[in-house]
Amino acid sequence: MGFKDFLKGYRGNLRVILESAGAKIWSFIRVIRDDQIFEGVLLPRSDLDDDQHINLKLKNGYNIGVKYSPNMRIEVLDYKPVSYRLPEKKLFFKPDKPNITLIGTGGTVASRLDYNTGAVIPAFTPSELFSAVPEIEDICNLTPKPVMSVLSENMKPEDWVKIAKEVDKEITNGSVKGIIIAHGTDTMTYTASALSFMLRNPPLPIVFVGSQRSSDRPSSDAAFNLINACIFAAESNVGEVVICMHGSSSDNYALIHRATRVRKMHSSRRDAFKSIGSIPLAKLEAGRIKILLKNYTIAGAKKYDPQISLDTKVALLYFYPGMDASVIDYFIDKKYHGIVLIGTGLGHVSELLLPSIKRAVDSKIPVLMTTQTLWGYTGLNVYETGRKLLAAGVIPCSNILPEVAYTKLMWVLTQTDDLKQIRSLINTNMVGEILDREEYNGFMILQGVENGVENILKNI
Amino acid sequence: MVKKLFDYRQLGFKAGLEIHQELNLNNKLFCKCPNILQRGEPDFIIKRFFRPVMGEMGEFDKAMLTEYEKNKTVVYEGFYQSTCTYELDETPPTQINEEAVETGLTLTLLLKGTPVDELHVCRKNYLDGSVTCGFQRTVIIGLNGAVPIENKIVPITSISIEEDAARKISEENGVIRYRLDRLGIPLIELVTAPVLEHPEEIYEAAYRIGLLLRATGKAKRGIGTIRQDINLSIEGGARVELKGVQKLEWINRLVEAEIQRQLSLIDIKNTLLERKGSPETLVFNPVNLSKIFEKTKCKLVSNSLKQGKQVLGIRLPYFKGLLGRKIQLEKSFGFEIADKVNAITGLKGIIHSDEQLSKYGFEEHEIGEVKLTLGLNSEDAFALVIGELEKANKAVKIIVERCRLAYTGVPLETRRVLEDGSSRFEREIHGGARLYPDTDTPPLKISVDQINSIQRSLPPYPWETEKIYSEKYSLPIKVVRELILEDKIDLFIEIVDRLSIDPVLVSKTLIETMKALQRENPKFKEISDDKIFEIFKTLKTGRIAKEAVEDVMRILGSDENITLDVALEKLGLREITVEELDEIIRVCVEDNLKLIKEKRERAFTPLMGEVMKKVRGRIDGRIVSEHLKRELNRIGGE
Ligand SMILES: [Zn+2]
Repeated sequence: MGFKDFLKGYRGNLRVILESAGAKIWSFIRVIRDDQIFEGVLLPRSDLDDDQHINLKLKNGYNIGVKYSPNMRIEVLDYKPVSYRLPEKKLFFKPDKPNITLIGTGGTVASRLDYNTGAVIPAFTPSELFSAVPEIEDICNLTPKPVMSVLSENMKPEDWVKIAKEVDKEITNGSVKGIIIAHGTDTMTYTASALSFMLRNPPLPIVFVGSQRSSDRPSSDAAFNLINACIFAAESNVGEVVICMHGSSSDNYALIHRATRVRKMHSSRRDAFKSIGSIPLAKLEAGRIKILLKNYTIAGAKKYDPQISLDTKVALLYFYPGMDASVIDYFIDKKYHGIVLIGTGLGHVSELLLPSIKRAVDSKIPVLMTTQTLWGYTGLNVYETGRKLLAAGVIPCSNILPEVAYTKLMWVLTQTDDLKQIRSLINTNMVGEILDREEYNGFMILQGVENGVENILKNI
Repeated sequence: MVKKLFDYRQLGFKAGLEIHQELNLNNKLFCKCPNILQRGEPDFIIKRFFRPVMGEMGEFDKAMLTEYEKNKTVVYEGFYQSTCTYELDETPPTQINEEAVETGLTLTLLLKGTPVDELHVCRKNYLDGSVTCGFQRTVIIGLNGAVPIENKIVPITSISIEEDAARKISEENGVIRYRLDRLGIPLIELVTAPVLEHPEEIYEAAYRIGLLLRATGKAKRGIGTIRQDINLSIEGGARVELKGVQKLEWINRLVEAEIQRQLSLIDIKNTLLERKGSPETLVFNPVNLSKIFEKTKCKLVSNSLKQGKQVLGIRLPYFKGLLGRKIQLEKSFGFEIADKVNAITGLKGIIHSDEQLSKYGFEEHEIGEVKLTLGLNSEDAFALVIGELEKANKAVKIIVERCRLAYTGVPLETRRVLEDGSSRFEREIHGGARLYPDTDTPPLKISVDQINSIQRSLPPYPWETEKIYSEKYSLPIKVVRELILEDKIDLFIEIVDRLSIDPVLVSKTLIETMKALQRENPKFKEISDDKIFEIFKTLKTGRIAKEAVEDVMRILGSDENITLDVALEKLGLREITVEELDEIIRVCVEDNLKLIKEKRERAFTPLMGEVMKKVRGRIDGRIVSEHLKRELNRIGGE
């Protein structure tokens, strides 16, 4: 931006009278309107709000909006600019502690208030982070590296590649024990699963972390999640991409989820992230790591195999009754390289879409099928519709989660454009995205909804 | 104790009120949970910790940091019925409760204040854990109102609505338990300017504001639904906030005890200055004295040492004799320091040199060694702290800081009031930095139309209510006021008007009898209005006598689960069945066969009297007479 607006958010007549009174944001002003007098600090106003009110912080700390009136008078009584900074903190390198890099993407692990939108924006300097979460010092030497400042919902596949390259750089540098990626929670599973495919068999833990309550709140889960991510990155021998978030609504334990089997299943709860069809990879409580999934990849056991690129011309389409076949035609016409469908039940879509699907396959565009039920496998041999879809050339995705099928196809398309090979790669379990068997309780366990889940986790 | 009479004018006494009233709306302020308090075992438990954040003005609030230092675990008890994910801080707020906003506007207009044009919800940090998200959502609705009292107009600086905090259930071993049912219930908050110059003025202002709140028709009733905080100061003292005044009759006693405290603290300050002391002489330099007590006979210390705890000592220059000085009722300055240490660290207490140290089991030589090690001079005092090293260090720090503050006299504090009239440290006074905008709620414009429509339907001013009731029921104003203050006025009116029972009897029962019973049994439970109404109904039907009312109330108040029928049964006033009646009649007739033969029909009256003696109040007299007549006829027929 560079340009600093001293009357941020004020427009029209109101701006004119504020300007002529010499008022600036943070000025202590007196507003006189008829027989009423208001005194307080002039606060910025959101651009999205109207131009008819002055935001004032009264002496008692409360904020109010005072309505504009043509006969309004404003006097400036004082001006004291404020800065919103956490205290600086000196960092010391401790040779006995593992080195961890924290890659910042613009999530809410560290953030502050923004007056423009009235919302929370990230603030990400090393000193801010350390003064906010001093516990980290005892765990590791953490080096924050902000690589971008993108809100989770604005993240693009190109950004995933950029993040993967940063991570790869850290890995090849060879001086770190683990890598943490701070990421907004909305699209975290997309980025994390994309990295799983691009950076196979990493020689260290790659831990995504975020928060569901921004760090400007006293009850923020950011510090708790970050501390646990640090412990896992510094101490575990897991060589996989994982996500570390609250395990329950309490501040008692965190769960580590395999990046290819996890989903954000609640819009706002701390324990929104759930492993689907499987249990989490590990649990962290009181600084101790407890591995739950025994089949994890040990760091360094397999050869690190980075193949960092994605074919971004892939579409992810949610089928709904009444869906028009031209939706699929659109992507064919736009020369997309792949389509992932999220079908109903066992992986069905209306047979009215069949001609378009066939057209896609004929144009050498792979069409993948996943299921809206999230739990369970696609099964296209069971019903007539399924068999017709198979005949049309649809590639069923076993029980790969829809978003994971999407990132996987992007990656697979950089390896081959041969439909047969694509089909084979999609159905090869590469980084734990496919469960070869579903356990009886894998359907429901650790969803945070069943009775007694707190006790189950306490006793694991 | 001799009642102290202060010259309030000479003291430069100034006080203001902050009044919180729970609103009786169906839903909470920012979610759709019902507005109810729940009993019994909670359905679930959640555990959380808190961390400090900065205010929008770029500073940490000092009070917040004190709370953070407490480093406590907070446990929340939730109920499926009254707690949703909003109270758990797991879901953003929904639209603000419109009825609450309307009530705030009504009150603003009643107080002739200025409604705010555009409402901005703010967050007020609460790091004691009583609000799950760490801040209370609060919004100013009106400014610059006023309430008239006897001889002055008391300005009301702000009228706001906010969420009530969770109910504290317990606090032990660094774990605080809160119950979430009350969290989020809409409250109205009124703040007066600090213009009250006498406890009676505080009382009068609080009373009148209470009446106004009732006039909105939206105020909740019952103990704890209205809470007064008193801000007060005297010349040379400082602003102290007394929190949690639940009854107006406490005001006088609380104010007197606080003035005594402030005057004593000013005395201590003067003594320190006379001794030529200065805050700089107080140095945070805890000395580990555990070695001295290795063979001590003091059980408290030897047990603690065995558990790996330490004894830390600190020299307090120029404080000799001051720690033992009484500052509030029977509480000494040393006690006040210990209380603050306890409030922040949870440590049970401190030992200081103004105490009779032999009572702990210390020996002369031990104390001598302590004095030597600490390098005590003749005007110095010392304090000992026993605990785990980290906690004990923190405790010493608090002691040193509190003693430094003694040079300023009275520290700015929020204090929780206690039943005996004294108070205990709760936190440093919160500054403006505690408030910042809520980013989860949009600004809400208040239209001129809305104001006008509320203005048109404002309830009448309640100032005159006392007089009206006093005349209507021929009761002294004092009695009417007491009924209002005890929240019994509506019940009183219902009983008197609907059952036509003597107003004097009803008011006496509701006030005096109730108080007598509460004195007699400290565990006396409040009897619901419905039950009390039923008692008077049974009185009206003649089932119980006037004298029995108190007995029935005594039983009902002993256990809230007892029904009126059970109470009556306990008093031998159980209703009897027709079969039982017939049996009583049969026995009575059998015993009086001779009389019946002699007097024939005229035997009915004495027999009726005899049966009624046994069944009075337990069955309708008409049934008795009918059945007795039938039995007599039967016998006559034989
Ligand atoms: Zn709720």
